[in-house]
Amino acid sequence: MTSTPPRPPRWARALVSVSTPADDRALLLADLDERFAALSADRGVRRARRWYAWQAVRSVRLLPGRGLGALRGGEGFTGDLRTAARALRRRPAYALGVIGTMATALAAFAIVGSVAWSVWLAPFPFPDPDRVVRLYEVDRSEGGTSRSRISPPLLEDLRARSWTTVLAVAGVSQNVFDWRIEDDVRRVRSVTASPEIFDILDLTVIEGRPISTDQDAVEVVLTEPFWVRAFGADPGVVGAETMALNGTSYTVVGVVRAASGYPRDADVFTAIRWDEDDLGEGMRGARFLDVIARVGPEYAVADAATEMDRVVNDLGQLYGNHRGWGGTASVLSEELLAPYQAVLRYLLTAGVVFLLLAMANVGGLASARALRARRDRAVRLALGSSEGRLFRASAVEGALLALCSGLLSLLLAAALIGSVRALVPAGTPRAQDIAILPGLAIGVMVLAVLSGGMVSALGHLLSRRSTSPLPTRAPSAPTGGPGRSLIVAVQVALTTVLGTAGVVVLAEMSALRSVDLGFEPEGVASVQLMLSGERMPTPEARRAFWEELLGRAAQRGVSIAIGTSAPMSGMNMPWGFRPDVTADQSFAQYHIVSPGYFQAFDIDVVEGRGFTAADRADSEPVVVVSRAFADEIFPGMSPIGREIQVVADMKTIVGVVEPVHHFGPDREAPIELYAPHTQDPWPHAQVLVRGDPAVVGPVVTEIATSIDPGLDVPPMGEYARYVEAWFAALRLQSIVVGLLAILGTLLAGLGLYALVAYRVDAQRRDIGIRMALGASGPRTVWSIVLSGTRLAAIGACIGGVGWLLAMPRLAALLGSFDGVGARPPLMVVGAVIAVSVVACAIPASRSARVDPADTLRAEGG
Amino acid sequence: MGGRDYVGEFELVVLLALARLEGGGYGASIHGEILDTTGRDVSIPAVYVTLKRLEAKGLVESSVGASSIGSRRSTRNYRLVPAGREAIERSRRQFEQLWGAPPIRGEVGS
Repeated sequence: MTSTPPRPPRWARALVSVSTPADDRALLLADLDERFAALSADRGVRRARRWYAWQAVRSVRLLPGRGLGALRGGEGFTGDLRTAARALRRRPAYALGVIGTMATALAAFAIVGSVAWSVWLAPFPFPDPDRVVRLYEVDRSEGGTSRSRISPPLLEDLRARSWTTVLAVAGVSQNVFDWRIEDDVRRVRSVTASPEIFDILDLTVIEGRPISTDQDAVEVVLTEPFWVRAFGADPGVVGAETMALNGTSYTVVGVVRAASGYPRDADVFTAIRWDEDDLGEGMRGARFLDVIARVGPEYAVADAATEMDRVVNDLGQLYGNHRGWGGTASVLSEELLAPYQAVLRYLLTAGVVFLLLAMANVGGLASARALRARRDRAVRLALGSSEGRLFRASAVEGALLALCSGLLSLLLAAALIGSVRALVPAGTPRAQDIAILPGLAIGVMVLAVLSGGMVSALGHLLSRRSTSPLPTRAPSAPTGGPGRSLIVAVQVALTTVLGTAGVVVLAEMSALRSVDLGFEPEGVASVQLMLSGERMPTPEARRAFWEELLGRAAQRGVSIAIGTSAPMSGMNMPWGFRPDVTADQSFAQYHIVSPGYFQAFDIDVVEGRGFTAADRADSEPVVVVSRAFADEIFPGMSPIGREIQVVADMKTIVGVVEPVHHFGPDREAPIELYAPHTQDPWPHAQVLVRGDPAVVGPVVTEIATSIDPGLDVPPMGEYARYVEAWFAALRLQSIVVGLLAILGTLLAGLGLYALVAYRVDAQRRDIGIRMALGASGPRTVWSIVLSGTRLAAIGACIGGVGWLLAMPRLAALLGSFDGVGARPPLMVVGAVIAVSVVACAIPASRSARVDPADTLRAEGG
Repeated sequence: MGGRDYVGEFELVVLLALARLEGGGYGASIHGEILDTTGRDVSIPAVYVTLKRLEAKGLVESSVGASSIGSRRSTRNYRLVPAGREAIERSRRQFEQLWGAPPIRGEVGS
């Protein structure tokens, strides 16, 4: 039996090849192979491979100067490289200071740039993303501008209309289907939309065709990743395969390339289908659909907004639900990114500022080093070195630093980008696209080289200022001229401003977190059910369904509640009412709820009663109002027992509940109206249960599907997901500013450290003399720490004042800073000073180790 | 004495290893000789570089031939020339003179 002979590491062979002149390469490689073979036989393959690798590494070390390179006459550059490496090794504080500072800032810049690009700046992957708009209804009563989504009947009006400014309109919703394959059931995420979505987003059909506009066609289009995953990219499934989704058989008609960013997380596309009942006049107030449109090439978005406004206005002549309403359109991609823009802008600004700070730092370090290098330079010039040669040496040193910083920063960024992606909240658009972009990596290297060039140019120019060759004594120690101190102070000041912004955003976030929402989402499991208009066309049938669901669950010991427009779930249902028949119509958030709703969400009943089983279809029509409603509509009096007109019916107020922050903690609680589900049974509702979704979910699914086997029951989830989704943008913001504040502090600390370290190095002689004259070690250390910290304190105070001055501008960037006092800047100033003490103390402690005897001996020459 | 006559420490090691290999040697065999007799695991590329330099100084000469150990591959064989032998002798004399001088002081260069 023959076995393949062991091979040396491929990279090592390649390394030897490139570092060897061509004429000897083959012979050398053959020699190495021979020794390798002998060694493998003798001591084992692993050892031999290690030996080979070591040989390769050493062949590279031979390159400069005396090695193979010397035979090619390559003493120049490689010699410079070696000299530079040696010089940097001799000054580790300087080298580490420069490389650490640049690498940190460049890595931060690479990460920040990648996140900003992927989430915000990269164009959306459909053509002319600026022409894809979202349509809204706008409540114009009392000069309001509150935007609402679109109801199913309005969507169909908009689709059927022949528009001037708009090419196509589509409703978009997202669903989860059960896909039955023999005995297995899988979850499939579906974008259920009007067929026009394919044109509007210009989705690329790679197999078959899009969904047809035929209302009766039951078709499904697969997204490319799903097609690959579920069908092994088999083109044969198109037109042939059917998918049993929620018990209905869908024909697979095509495969599309899914666009990233919108709509999110789709496995398949299916068509929205309405029953006659969904499109009834009563449904015109059910504004829950996401509706998108493509604006024609010769029109602007504003034209589309104007036309939409007119369309809704005209419908107001026909339907009470649109009376007093208008419409508008806004660019979809801007909408998706709007909550993230402020934080991303801050992120980018901070990234650039950090980079500038780091460059300033490096500049400071380089100038200090150049001053110190004067003597060395003078010696070299005296020994016959040329000006050009010295410049080359300094350029090579800069290049070496740049290379190390650039590579280290890319390694850092690549190592951290995964964690950054994981930190980005789930709701962030295109978060899965976040990666270090090749272009940006190149940009980072270019920046590194530029900063390296700056280092060498600065160093060279500064050292040229000294013209006298061979000064009789070392130039006076560079204790930090005003320029360098200024750079550090400015840096500390900027860090203070950034840090304060970070603290304020975190404080805002925690303030919003602590807002009492008026309801308790924790511990509530929920699922949105939509009854079939076909099977349950009448209010009676729907009422019977909900009653049976609630009753049978109660028998099973599961106490469930339903509500049509649950808080913070994105539902907006402003309903018209009149406090008395003669008054003007006002609008309140309208909820259809079952008796257990207030208990499920722990919404307190403050006056009167909640709903009970006694509130039946044939009993007195009743409503419960929120305290905000009571205070606004009936100020100073009890609303209990009063009659109000809701749409067309008179209803008696029987209770008052605590207001709920329906639109989130940053908005005032709207005025709200609750009606019992028995008196106005709607086809859709959130089913709410206190308990674990995994436990109560199957019970709800079982009962619901036993009442209506064709019903689509998505998996039950924690209700808190809606609240978390709302906080996603804020969480991103707080994570980002938190990280940037830490990074800024780190950079400023590093800058200060490097400055003090350099001072200590440069003043070694003076310190030694002082200590020889009797100064104590601790006192010397203390005086150095004090001078560094004083500088930092000045910078921090300037930053604190700068914060107070810049606050209005920053507030525009980051959102309101209402009620932010002087505490955050004071806290940050304190923290920055504390960090400064540490940053100064580390290098300063080295000064205590200066041996006075050494110094005196050196002075004696 | 001119730069051409002076041999460095590693050059001397390579020359001596070559001298020990009867009929000359090539990169790998010289490397093996150094490893076996001194225990120094020098790198083969370094041996190559040194041989090149010694050849440039006229201390060794080379010819392309077959490898000594069975294989059929070609290799560059090096042999000492009389100047090389002289260089070894000269180095030896210099060292002996230095070692034979008055006792070496404990602290060199203080």
